[in-house]
Amino acid sequence: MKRWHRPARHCALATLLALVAFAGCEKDEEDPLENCDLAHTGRALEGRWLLTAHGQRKLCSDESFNGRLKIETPDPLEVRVVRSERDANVFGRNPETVADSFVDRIERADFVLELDEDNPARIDLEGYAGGSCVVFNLTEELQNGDLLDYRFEGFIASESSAEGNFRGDGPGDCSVHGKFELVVK
Amino acid sequence: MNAREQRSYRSRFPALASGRWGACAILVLIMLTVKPAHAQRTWALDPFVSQGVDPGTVQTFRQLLGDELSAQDGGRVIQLQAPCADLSCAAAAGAQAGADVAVHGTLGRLGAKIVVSVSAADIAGGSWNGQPRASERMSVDRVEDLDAVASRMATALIGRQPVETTAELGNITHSEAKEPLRRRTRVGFLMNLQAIAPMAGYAGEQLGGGLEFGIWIETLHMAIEPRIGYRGDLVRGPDKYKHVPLELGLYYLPLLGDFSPLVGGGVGLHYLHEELTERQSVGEVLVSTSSVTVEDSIYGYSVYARAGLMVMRTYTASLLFSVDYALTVADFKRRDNEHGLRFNVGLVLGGSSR
Repeated sequence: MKRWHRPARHCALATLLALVAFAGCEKDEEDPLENCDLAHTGRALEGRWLLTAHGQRKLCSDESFNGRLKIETPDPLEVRVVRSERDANVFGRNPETVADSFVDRIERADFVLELDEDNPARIDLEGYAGGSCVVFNLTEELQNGDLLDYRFEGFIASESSAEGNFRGDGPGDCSVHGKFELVVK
Repeated sequence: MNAREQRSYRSRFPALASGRWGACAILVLIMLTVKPAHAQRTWALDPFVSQGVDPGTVQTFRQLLGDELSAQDGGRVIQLQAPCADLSCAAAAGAQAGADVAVHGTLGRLGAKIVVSVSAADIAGGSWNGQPRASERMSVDRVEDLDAVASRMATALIGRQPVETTAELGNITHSEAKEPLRRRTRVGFLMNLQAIAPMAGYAGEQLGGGLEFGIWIETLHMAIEPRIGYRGDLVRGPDKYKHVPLELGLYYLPLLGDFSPLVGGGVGLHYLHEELTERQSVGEVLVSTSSVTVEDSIYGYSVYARAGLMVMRTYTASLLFSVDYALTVADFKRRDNEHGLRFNVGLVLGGSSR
């Protein structure tokens, strides 16, 4: 019996090590939402936003609202970004001099997102871009008083786009979630 | 009429001599009441020849013919005693008896039929010129029709007309009576091509089509049509339906010719599978549209009314053009029952046409 135990133990150990190694490889993939150190920052978000999102709407008391969800902005939102003087995302940067550090802080400054006055009054935007990460809330007040309140969390993928996930509420007691893509023109 | 005779005439009818109109009235009256000169003919009937027919029947027929000649022509009828084999013999015997017309007849059996042959000869100046006055033949399939034959033969002999033209209501023989066209029950194979124009339901009122197969059972004025088929949407898109109907139709066909209207209806049991995408949109800036596919896989019932036209009905291949109004009742999710129009082109194959 002991003669059979040893090879079995070796095999089990090898399998365990392989699984740990595999899991470790998976964990090594960088999550852009965690590091926020991609090349593009909040400056890329200034302009006309074309937002498209796909997901699910569920838990609505009116069942006709449940199902696959698509969110669009037929009329682009005019958004401006305001640089934050106080904060900057310099994660991953290793400046050799004080001057480089100073430049990094300017280039990697955080930005506050604001809606231009030209947008309809019933829409509201609150948002913030830290490094390449972006978080914003879009709220629309419906004619019947209900609210669409969506929170978008993503990263700036290029000099004119961002993508990520969203979740939120409305109309009524509906709950929504999914993925979004933002194109800035 | 010379002047002397005119005077005599006026003296004999003094009441009318005063006016020409009176004379005309008398003439018309005379023409209406006095029988024509040929009514005074004497008919001589020889003993008819029997060829396989009961002699009593032959004798009865001769008597009936004599009575008819007397009744229709108003003359005298002589029943000759000496048998004759042909018309010339009968003519000679009739001449001897002082008759104006001699009649010779034969009743022969041919299978189930009795063939009646009668010929007549005019006797003028005590002899026959060899030309028959008339020669007619009829056949009957039952002995009871011989009285009708006697009547029509008498008419033919008196009027010198073919016996075929003497048929009237009441003297048609059974064998002459046209057998009514009788259609045996026709059982054929049915194939039906269908277009569907929904009015409600059918996965968002999608245009559709179908193919059905069935049995066509047809009698004189009715037809029964059990059939099974497949129906589905014909428009590409997310909304779709598939129906498998099992239906039974009952129709009325008023005409027996090649073209007949058709009205009726039917009931059915359906398997229904429908997928309908429902969309609900809110927001004007953040337009949020949810869509959900409502899927039904259920059984339902249908009832329909049909009107149409059957073409080439008497052929073994017939066409059927019809339109249905159909209502399908089922427990659909979040929507009502469905109804619509169905346009059909059917082909009925096989079955005996008559």
